[in-house]
Amino acid sequence: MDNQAILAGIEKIVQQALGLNDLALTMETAAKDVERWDSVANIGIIMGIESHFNIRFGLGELDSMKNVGDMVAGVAKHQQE
Amino acid sequence: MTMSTTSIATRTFSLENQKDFARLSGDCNPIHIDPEVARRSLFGRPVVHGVHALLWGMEAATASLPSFYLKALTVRFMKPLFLDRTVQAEWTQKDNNLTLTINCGLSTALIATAETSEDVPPSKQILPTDNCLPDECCIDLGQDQLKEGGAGEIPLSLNQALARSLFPILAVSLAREQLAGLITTSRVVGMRCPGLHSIFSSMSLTATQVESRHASYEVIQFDDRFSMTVLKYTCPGLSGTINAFLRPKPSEQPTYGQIKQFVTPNEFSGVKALVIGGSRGLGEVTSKILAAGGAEVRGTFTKDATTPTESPTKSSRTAKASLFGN
Repeated sequence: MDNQAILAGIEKIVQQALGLNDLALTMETAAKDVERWDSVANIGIIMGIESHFNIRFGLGELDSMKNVGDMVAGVAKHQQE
Repeated sequence: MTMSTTSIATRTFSLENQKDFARLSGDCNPIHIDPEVARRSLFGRPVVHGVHALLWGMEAATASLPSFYLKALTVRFMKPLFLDRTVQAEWTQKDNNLTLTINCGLSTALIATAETSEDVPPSKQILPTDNCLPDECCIDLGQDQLKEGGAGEIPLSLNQALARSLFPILAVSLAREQLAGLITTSRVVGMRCPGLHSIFSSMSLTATQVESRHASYEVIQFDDRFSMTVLKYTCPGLSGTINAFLRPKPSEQPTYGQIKQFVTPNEFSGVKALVIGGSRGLGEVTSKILAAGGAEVRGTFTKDATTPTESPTKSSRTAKASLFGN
């Protein structure tokens, strides 16, 4: 799966988690840029991504994710394993 | 096709409203109905039952439907709602799809999406209606127990009179087993699993036809990265998953006896101390240290002299300490 497809998958999960159907994400989008994307919402988003892509992030990986691009890279890395 | 429309309703939740919902649901978790216990939680005050807020919002949003059945419902409880604050429900209805948000000020407390049908399948269940829910202890499951899994069931019932007084429209329009099933999710999370130290995070349910008089739940995952429990939930009209956090327990301070071992006797003899906020937290520990060292301690408190579990005055007859409040 290429990065754009992963981004599209993440975008849909974030839209559902935050109830923002028109939200558009880019690789540079960070949680602080998005209404309602706080630490609690982030847990739902992470669990949604893990379930959708059938992967599991380590706590260290989660700590180092600074934007959507890091999430996409994280998913791609797990898919290659 | 129905055009989408957006509408708004407002209200406040009082402690009395909370106690009524606790009677209806059986969710008597003290975080919702006991201000003293709630004060010591991470929220610092009583929190509205999330399902109470949800049902109020659904009541307002579905007022035009004479009767309906939920085909699907997804709810995310994003922020706690507190008592005596104006909360606002805002919803959009398009065809049979409902999007509901409940806000307090600028923050969104709850987002729900529902797919409804006016085709209500005939109910196979006759639920007891004259319920007087048995007194139930709030179970306190910890991480280790949740990791091991667990399951249980709750007999479904619906106190019609109370349901109608709290949700006059929904109690008539929503299929009864689905209303009872939704109300019971609050009891499952708040009283059973995780129970005492829980936070209802989200649920995702779809219509189901199960011949049972019980709501059943089963832990299917405990994610210790986030202290998140995932439950499988099934009742006669709905089934799906519930996510709930295990929240941190209030911290307990060391006892006077434990502290005394680390303090030289008479280290503080002749000291007259006034500890502001001496009934709990750092103030409680400070009072105990001073009292253990022979100081004459006075402590202040703001709310309730009975809350300190072990004030220096209670812990030792020889310690010269007392508490006074306003």
